Amino acid sequence: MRDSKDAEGQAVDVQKRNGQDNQRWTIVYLDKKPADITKGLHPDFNLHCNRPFYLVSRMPMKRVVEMHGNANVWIKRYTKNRLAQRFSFDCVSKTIRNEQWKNYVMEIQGNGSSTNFRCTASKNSRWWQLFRYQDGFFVNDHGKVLDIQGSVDTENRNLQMVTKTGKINQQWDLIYADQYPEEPKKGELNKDFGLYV
Amino acid sequence: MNTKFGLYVERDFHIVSALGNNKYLDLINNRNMVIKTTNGRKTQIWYFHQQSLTIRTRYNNQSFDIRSSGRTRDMQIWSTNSGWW
Repeated sequence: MRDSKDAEGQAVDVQKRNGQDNQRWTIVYLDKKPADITKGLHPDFNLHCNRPFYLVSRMPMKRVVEMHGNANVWIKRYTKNRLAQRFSFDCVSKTIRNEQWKNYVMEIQGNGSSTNFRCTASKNSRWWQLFRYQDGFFVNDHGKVLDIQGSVDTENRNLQMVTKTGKINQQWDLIYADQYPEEPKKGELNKDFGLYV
Repeated sequence: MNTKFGLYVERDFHIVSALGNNKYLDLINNRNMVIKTTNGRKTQIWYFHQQSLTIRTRYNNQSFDIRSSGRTRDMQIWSTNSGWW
């Protein structure tokens, strides 16, 4: 491994033998390989396999991440059963696909050179398409986190992957669709606001 | 098994780094060797080809190669020529 870096996409080259782990490899024949994780929680990504989820902002309006028609991604008020607001983790490719447009996966635009967060139909499992949920942050291998642009909690606000500040516009709850709480109906109490609908 | 090379002939395998993250040998731009998280793609599947005595990728059957006929240190895949590189 070049420079002994154990990072996603790190180049491989040939050097004089040094006996270190950066020059050691294991051959794993496919017919002897342990089964891949295909269900349950994937420990490396902290995401359940193929279990639809919502990414819910911790800003006051609790908007959710939604993919819209031109593949960009924004925040929007939760709408029951809107598949564009649901995503699921593919344990094989390690990418996160949208439930409305199932061949689209999350990525950082421009092969990671931009900050814009969007979805794409060109799935390649490169570092700019790999994300994990960690302590309320949606992070990637390069330490960038999902962020509501300008910290403005409005409909259709754009999302980006930027350096972590730890502020609330970068904090998310990952709620699986089968556990998403029903919104209060007419006559029911909205506990967050202390008012009946 | 080819005992000289220590590899089974035409038996698919992954090459897994011994560093902590156990990443898999893979290709980017369908050419250059890197390490990546396992992703189910053919670019992470390799096999030993007895006739050429090279290690090939299942992606397009090209072989392990040191770029520029061994004059650099960069690893890639290239059309099979069985040179020392």
